[in-house]
Parts: sequence; C-alpha cells; structure tokens
Amino acid sequence: MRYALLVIVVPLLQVTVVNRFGGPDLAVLVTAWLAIGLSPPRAAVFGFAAGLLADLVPPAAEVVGPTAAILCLTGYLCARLSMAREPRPGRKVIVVAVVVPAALLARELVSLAWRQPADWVSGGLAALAVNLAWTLPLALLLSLTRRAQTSRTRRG
Amino acid sequence: MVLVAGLVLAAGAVAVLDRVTPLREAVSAVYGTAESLVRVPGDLRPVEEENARLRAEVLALRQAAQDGAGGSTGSGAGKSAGVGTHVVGFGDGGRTVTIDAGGLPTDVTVVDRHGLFGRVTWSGPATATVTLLTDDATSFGVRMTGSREIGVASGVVSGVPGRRLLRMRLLNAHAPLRAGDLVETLGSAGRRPWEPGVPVGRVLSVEDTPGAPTRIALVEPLAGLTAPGLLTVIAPAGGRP
Repeated sequence: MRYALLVIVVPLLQVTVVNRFGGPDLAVLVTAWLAIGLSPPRAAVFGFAAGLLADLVPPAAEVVGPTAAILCLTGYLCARLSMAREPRPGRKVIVVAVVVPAALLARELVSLAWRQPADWVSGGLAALAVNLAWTLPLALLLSLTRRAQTSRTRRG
Repeated sequence: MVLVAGLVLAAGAVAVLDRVTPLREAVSAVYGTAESLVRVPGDLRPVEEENARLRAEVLALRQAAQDGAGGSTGSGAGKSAGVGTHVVGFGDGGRTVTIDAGGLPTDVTVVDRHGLFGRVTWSGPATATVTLLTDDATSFGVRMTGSREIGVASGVVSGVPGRRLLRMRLLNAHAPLRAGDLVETLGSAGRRPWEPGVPVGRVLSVEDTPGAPTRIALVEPLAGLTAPGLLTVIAPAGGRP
C-alpha cells in the first residue's frame, strides 16, 4: 500500500520539482529501490505501473508503453538477480550498477527513435550522461538502505 | 517469467490502445489538475488575461507594420486572441512543459515576455503540453531582423542543463551576420504553428566555415526557458481547432 502510494506520487514530484533542474529519473530510481527485497513478480508489477505513469503524466508527449515495458523488466531483473541463497553484502549494489544504466540507456534510445532529432548521437549522449550522473549514484546509495530492510524481514 | 512477458505485452497493448482511446487525457485530467494546484492567486487572473490579450495585439500590430513596410509573409491580418497561462510541470530533458490551460488549439505559437517560447503540441482537458523552441527534433523558419535574410533554426542539446541554444543556418552564404544580431520567426503558412515576426533570439557566435553552402550561427533564445513566467498562447481566431 505504501509502495503503491509512492509509485503514484513520484511522477508528480518528477514533473513539478525534479525536472526544473534536470534531476534524477525518479521512475527508474524508485523501481530499482522497490525491486530489491520484493519478489520478482511484485517488482515487475510495480515497475510496470511506474513506467506507465512516466509515459502518461503530462508533459510526457511521446509514445505510451515503452517505459512500462522497460521498467517492468528493470524491476524483475533487480529483484531476481539480487536474490541469493547466501546473502552477500555487495550483490545488490552490483545489480543496481548494471541494471539502472541499462534502463536509462533503453529509455533514451526509445526517446531518440521516437523523436528522431537531426543530431541524435551527441544530443543522446549528452542527455544520457546528465541522467546517469544524477540517477546512478542515488540508486546505489538507496540500494544500501534497502538491503538493511530486507535482511531484517528475512530474520523475522 | 510468464507474468513479465504478459506485462511487456500489456505495454504494447497500451501503446495501441492509446491510439484508439484518449488514455492520456484521462491521466492528464487527474495529474494535470494536481500539477496546477500551485497556481497564482485569483485576483491576478484578470490582469494576466489582459496582459495576454495585449501581447497578442502587439504581435498583430507588429506584423501589420511589417506587411505595410513591404516584407510580406503574413497572410492578411487575421485577428488573434491571447490566452495567458503558467508553466506547472517540466518534461524530461527540458524539451516540453505543461501549462495550466486546457482545451487549446494545437500547433499554435506560445510566447513569453521576451519572445518566442514554443508551440502547443498536445492539449488535454485541464492542461496542455508546450514543446520548447529549443527541442532538438523541431526546426522552424527564421529571418534576420535587420538584413531580412532567411534561414532555418533547430535546437542544440548541450551537456550543460539549463543552457539552451539554437543552431541557425542562413540560406544565403554571403549574408551579413555578426554576434548580437536579432533573429525573428519567418512564420508558417497560415501562421500555424509559427506566427511571423516574433522575436526569437540573438546571435551568440558565427561559425567561420569558408566555402560552406550556408552560414551557420549559434543563437541564444530571448525567452526565459529555464524560469518561465506568464506565457501567452497566440490562438488564431476562426482557425481550425
């Protein structure tokens, strides 16, 4: 329930506050954070919802659906890969470090394919670099907090 | 795994569904209204509406004056109405913004206090989406205010967020061009999406490329794109909705 509320509020925060200064991609951030510690199917559902809203909440003007698919896979992979029989401390951080850049790259590629700007190489690289610089460090930091919560629930 | 495959398929279905039913409008009605909650106090509204109307009038007079001076691109003096709005949401990469006015015509010019801001690309029940003039997938006709030379401008994505520039190509390779020159819109056929004679920006630097078929320059927009104030949507009266 709390998670659902988070997924609903985050797009609003993204367009009213974060995008003013070109901040992190909250949809990717929240999906990766939630996925760690959830079961893969639940993580996929939350990722789908977060992605669908990211595609729909104005002023999103591009095609509806790709972000839902991308974040659905992001959630599933984060949850699936961070599960382990013997929990190792660094595992979730490595998973986030791989999956989050992949998700951002996929979003940027879809956007470029849809808009087809004349100078797509340098424009796409610049946008991706800014996005990655904001999102990845925060995702890594947040994954640390998430790990602590998961180990508590496992013991209990 | 089956669930994930199902959800990915659902994402595809949504893309198809969006073409058929106005899914975006439903979401816009909820989220757009939420975005617009932070709006100006009510007693400013009449003043802002008058301001918007006057801006549209100034633009019409400027166009009429230019038509009279002989540089005729305007297709007659069609009356335009100004709609005053505020930016309530910002899109990814600073390409689009949400404004708190719904039910607008699409493909019409949006200006701010200083000059051209963008064009309306989508309009929902409570809000509309404006694509900024510096969007890198948009290009539009421009004219040098002094020399009347014409060219094409499109947005440049710089690595620095908040620094939005245009790259302009003048069709005449021998046109006089120097930093500080003013650029205005050429205007579209039927004045949609671009009204003629709207100030666009100032030339920042001219690329020195001897022998090139066009003259290329970087243009800094006049409009306050990163901190937008009151915007005016120039809606041509009697046009298609």
